[in-house]
Amino acid sequence: MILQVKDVVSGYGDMDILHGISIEVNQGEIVSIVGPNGSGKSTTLKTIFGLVNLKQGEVLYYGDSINQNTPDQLVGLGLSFVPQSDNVFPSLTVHENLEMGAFISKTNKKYRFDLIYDLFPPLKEKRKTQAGNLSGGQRQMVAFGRALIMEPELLLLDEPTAGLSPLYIDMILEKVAEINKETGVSVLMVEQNAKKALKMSDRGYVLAAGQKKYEDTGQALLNNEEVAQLFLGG
Amino acid sequence: MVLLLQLISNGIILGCIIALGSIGLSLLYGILKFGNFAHGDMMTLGAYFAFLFKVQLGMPMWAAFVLAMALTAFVAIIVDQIIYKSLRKSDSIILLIGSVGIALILRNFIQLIWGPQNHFYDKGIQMPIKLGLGVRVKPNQILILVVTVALVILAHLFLRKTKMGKAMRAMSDNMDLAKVTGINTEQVIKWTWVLGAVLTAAAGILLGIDTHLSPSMGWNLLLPLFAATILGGIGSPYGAMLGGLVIGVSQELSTLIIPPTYKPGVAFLIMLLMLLIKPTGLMGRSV
Ligand SMILES: Nc1ncnc2c1ncn2[C@@H]1O[C@H](COP(=O)(O)OP(=O)(O)O)[C@@H](O)[C@H]1O
Ligand SMILES: [Mg+2]
Repeated sequence: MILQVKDVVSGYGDMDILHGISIEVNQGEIVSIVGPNGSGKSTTLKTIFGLVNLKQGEVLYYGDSINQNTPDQLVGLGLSFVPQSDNVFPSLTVHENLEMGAFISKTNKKYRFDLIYDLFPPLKEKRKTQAGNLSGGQRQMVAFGRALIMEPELLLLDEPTAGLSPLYIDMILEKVAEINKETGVSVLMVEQNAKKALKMSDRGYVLAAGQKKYEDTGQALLNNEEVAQLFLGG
Repeated sequence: MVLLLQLISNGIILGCIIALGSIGLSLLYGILKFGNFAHGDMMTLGAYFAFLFKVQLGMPMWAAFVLAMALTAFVAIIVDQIIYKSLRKSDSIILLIGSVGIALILRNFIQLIWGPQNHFYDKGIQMPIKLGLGVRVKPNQILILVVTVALVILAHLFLRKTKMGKAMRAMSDNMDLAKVTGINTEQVIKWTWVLGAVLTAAAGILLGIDTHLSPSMGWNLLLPLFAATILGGIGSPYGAMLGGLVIGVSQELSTLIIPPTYKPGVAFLIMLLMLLIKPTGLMGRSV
């Protein structure tokens, strides 16, 4: 098991948002977290990455606790995170954004950049463009590239398709599946497009009000009438 | 006409000094999100360190210049690690108040060691060079211009070409994302202090070369420094360079219509106007 979130209670200041959440990701899996707005999906990812105060419980990576690790240490361990919004450095060029993704690497290995440009060809022509001047879809590619450049083992994605046009939504989700298949990176993904996300996921979790409501394979959740009615819009 | 050109030329020299100081002020604001009220006194400290090396220890000026910049950077890192680091999680107003305290400590320290009287790097008098059209500049002022241009180019290259410089811009864009990305933010903060301290020390030394040293030389420039930073757009080092020149030239030109003692008022006025009309500054982002 690559990631194990055990009975986690966390929140902002004195307010608890997650009330004892447990989530697991096995090596090579795509796992989706779905649920209504404000149910604590983003908070779950942020807690794993050490950005939100963990008050109780434990986060294990390959069986070792990472509760005390700083975000830059986690990147060194092979974790990577694409936040929900503001996930590129707008005044830096596309290439500089990728360079920042490789900050922990002592050497600026060219092959890493080539891999990203092969994965997202539109970025290659835009490498000298400031990320703030890109379209939403291209910006998301930069955010992915930045997160993938150190060849992580676990990729956390927070609503990777938020605000994108339908064309880009499918393209980005297909990319996630492609990256997972080709690099073997495990993926823990939060998605608004719950049906599409569950369809491509090995397993899924449904969160509501900071608690885990359902947990099953992606297909089983899609077929679960209760889940469909309450959370997938009928 | 001659007077006008002379004032512009004087203004450019003053503008160089202000620009060097405000680049660091702007960078520090962009990354640490607080106005460093000790920036002017760090400038003074740099100037007195150069006095120590040049006059008291008899070193050549260029060596004193470089050593003073290094020593000022060292002091800045120490102060950051002892004082600011523990305050980083608190409100930026706390950091600001902390910096006011550090400003006072630095100024009193300087007065204690070197006394309240004025000091000079050189006692000799320089013959002005005539530039044509009746404008006169001292050789030292040409030196100030050359050193400033060189340092600004170096700072630009540092910010554009080095990994650390790019990380500074990244942190200034988005601190949380910088952390998530794996940037060692504490290390970048140290380098930001180094860059800011080196440039402001240079500004202080150049001011000392142009005029003289006094314990309040940097403190007196703090208002123009902030004005230049705000004019250029807080957090934008390139704007700060431009802002410095504008403030310097307008302060000198203002003496055409108002008494010279009101010069700092001009900086204040420009700062206020800018805050009212376009708070993001000439080159600032819309935050
Ligand atoms: N930085 C924050 N400070 C305080 N409360 C927050 C913060 N971020 C989110 N919250 C609150 O936490 C709850 C869960 O938010 P979030 O995890 O972003 O939900 P989701 O991603 O599922 O939409 C919401 O009630 C939200 O208002
Ligand atoms: Mg969210």
